[in-house]
Amino acid sequence: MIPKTQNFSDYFGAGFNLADDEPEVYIEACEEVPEMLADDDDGSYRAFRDEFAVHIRDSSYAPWSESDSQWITDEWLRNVWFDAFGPEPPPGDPYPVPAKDWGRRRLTPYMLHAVRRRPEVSSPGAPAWLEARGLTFEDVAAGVEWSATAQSPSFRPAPEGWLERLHDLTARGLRAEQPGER
Amino acid sequence: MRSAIEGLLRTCVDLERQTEAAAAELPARVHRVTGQLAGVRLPPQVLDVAGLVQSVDGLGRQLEADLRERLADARQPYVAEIHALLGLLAPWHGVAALPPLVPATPDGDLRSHFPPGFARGYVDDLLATADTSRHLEPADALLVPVPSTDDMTAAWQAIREAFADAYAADGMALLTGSGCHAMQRHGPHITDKAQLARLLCLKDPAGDDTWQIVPSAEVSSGHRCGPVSGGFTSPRAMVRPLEAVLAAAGQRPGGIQELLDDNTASKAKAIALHVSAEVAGLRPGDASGYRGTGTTTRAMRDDWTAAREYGLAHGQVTVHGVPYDPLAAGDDPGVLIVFRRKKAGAPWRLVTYFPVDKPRPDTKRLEDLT
Repeated sequence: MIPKTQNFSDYFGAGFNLADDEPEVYIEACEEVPEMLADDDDGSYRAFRDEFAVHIRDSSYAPWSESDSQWITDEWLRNVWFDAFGPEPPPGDPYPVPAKDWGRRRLTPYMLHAVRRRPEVSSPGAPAWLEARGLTFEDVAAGVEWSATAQSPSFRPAPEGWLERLHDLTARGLRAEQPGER
Repeated sequence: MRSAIEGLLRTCVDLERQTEAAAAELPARVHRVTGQLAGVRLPPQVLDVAGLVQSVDGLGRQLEADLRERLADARQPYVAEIHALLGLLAPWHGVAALPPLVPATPDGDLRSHFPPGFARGYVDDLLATADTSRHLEPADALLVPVPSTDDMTAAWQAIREAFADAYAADGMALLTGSGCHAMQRHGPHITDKAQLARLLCLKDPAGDDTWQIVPSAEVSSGHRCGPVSGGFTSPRAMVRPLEAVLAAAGQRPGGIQELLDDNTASKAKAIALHVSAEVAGLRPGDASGYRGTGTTTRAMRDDWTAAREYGLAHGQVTVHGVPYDPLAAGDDPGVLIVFRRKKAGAPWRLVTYFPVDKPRPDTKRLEDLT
């Protein structure tokens, strides 16, 4: 889906884009999602969530820089989606992450910033966040251990047929072509 | 894989540096010897001094050529290995397959061995930081002092004095509001060492968040920081971006609250703005700090963050930082400023602001606010 809406940018830009720069604002954005969904009388937050899923489905959220590929960007969006909305993959996701991978075999920004070995130095919201995703502090600690030997702790390799899929989505006008795709 | 590539590149750089140093020293040594010889006065039938000088000189040149040629040979297996590792990474990133190794001339630099595009970009990023990267052990971070109460009083005084009169009251109110940590993390009083300890060891420069080295276990930190740390180098640089925001807010009857309300979804609880360096009146040198080595791409940043987390969980620092002035490095630098509110309709409060190399996606530029 191109272009993205201002409503999407307003909510995505309210912290989900800031894990590198300001992890605490990212953590707050993730932890307040249940409240935002519950108090959404104008429907704008659900619209944001629905559009988020569409961008993952269509590979239409453009990479931040020329050195980021669309695949890595999409994989990162899947991580942010998990951090925000939980273990249910976004509707229409062509490459859903196996549920059992989260934590032990896949680390997200929330896991890397908010969850520490010791609950007392983790984000106060971490126990509830973990519980809502069926995870424990031990699961994330196991993922951090595994990451030392993993090829990539937060991303999968691009699947067979990936570039062809991108070309098709581009041809259908659902996304803009990015450098390095031909 | 990342640490394998980084390790190999560092070995290559070391090899290169040592060979370069030895090769660079050779002519000087040979020159010393030939100089001494030339001063020797002996009858030609005893010793042909001129001939000897010439052959020593020739030997020196040969040695130098040998060293450089061997360097090319010595780094070849490393280059091949790094290329193979990058080849494994390419499909991971969903980019087209890596072209074969480019045959480089013996005296070509290391990067010229790699094909343009993904491989060269990756190597460039690591090479650019290999020479200047810094490391810090948790024990060193422990010794980095936290500002005293007197230090902070002086730091705040300097900030107040740096504001133009028209903005001092509002600016100070924003900076000292509850939940604002702009000064505590990005203030000009914070030393480079403290920024490095923040980046690599997650030690809070203000000393507010828990930080301890648990003997024979982990570094336990309640502080959060991404793959970059740093701040402003002078009180004036610190207050300029805030003055720019206050100037824009001053155009409206409802001030800053109205400015922010009008420019985001009615229920959004946070807003991040980009104040360009030009609008803020900032220049290269007004910012300093560090970023993690090899953190120019999304995947590299997440890799780096996981590596830091793993190291600290084992009481070690496994990552490096490189000195970084975002105002000098970026093509559209400025300041990222973040406001939050408890709920729709509640007042916006300043959370923080710091220098960045370019605008972050899904943020608005101050000058584009309506």
